[in-house]
Amino acid sequence: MKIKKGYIKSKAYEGWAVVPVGEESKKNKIMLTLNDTAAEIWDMLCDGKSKDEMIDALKKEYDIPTEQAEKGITNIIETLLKEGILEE
Amino acid sequence: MNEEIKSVETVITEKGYVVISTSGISMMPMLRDRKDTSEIRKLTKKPKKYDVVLFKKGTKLVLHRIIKETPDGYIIRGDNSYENDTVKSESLIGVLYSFTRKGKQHTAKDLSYRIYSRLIVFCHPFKRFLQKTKSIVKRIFRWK
Repeated sequence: MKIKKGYIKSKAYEGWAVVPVGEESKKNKIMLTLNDTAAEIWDMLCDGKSKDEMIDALKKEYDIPTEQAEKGITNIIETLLKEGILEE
Repeated sequence: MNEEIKSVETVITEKGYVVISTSGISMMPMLRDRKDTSEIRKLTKKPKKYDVVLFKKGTKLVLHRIIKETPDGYIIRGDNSYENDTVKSESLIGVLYSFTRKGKQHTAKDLSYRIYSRLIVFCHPFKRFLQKTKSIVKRIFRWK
């Protein structure tokens, strides 16, 4: 999975926002807001990390069970796929 | 996570802010065409000279700088533009809080930004003069 070219993460009032730039901004005016954890997942996706690697990283950082980390990551991945920001 | 696609105006009204990438060159060199992002916040107080505001112009939304306040409205112009707009306060939608350029965030409160905004307004008449001079010189050399 990788983030489609033409989307950048930017600091915003309540956390972070994902904004289309370049050609993508002509097709899409969407602004997705991310909290700090979602922003971390975004960064890991940008780094090309696998789902398992992301789960391990979240478990270590927040001391949470595998199921909780997986659920959070799956939610974000599904949203990004639905919006066409993430490519399989 | 907000999944809904909403118009800029609706998002500002509902959330109090919006982050967008702007198109066009009228705010160059500060904002590059569809490359940099701007965080626009809902107006909570009267904007003042040098503020960059988002306003409605026909069916478009424009992000330009206030250069003067008059009884008829705000005189607003793009940093890289020569056309002024007179805009009533009711047409203003939001004010630039920060922008991210080449991955670095700058807020409107930064000293460097405040110096930049004053310089760009102050230097505007000279910029026009320099561009005219440059075009005359180019024409002379082409003629020779």
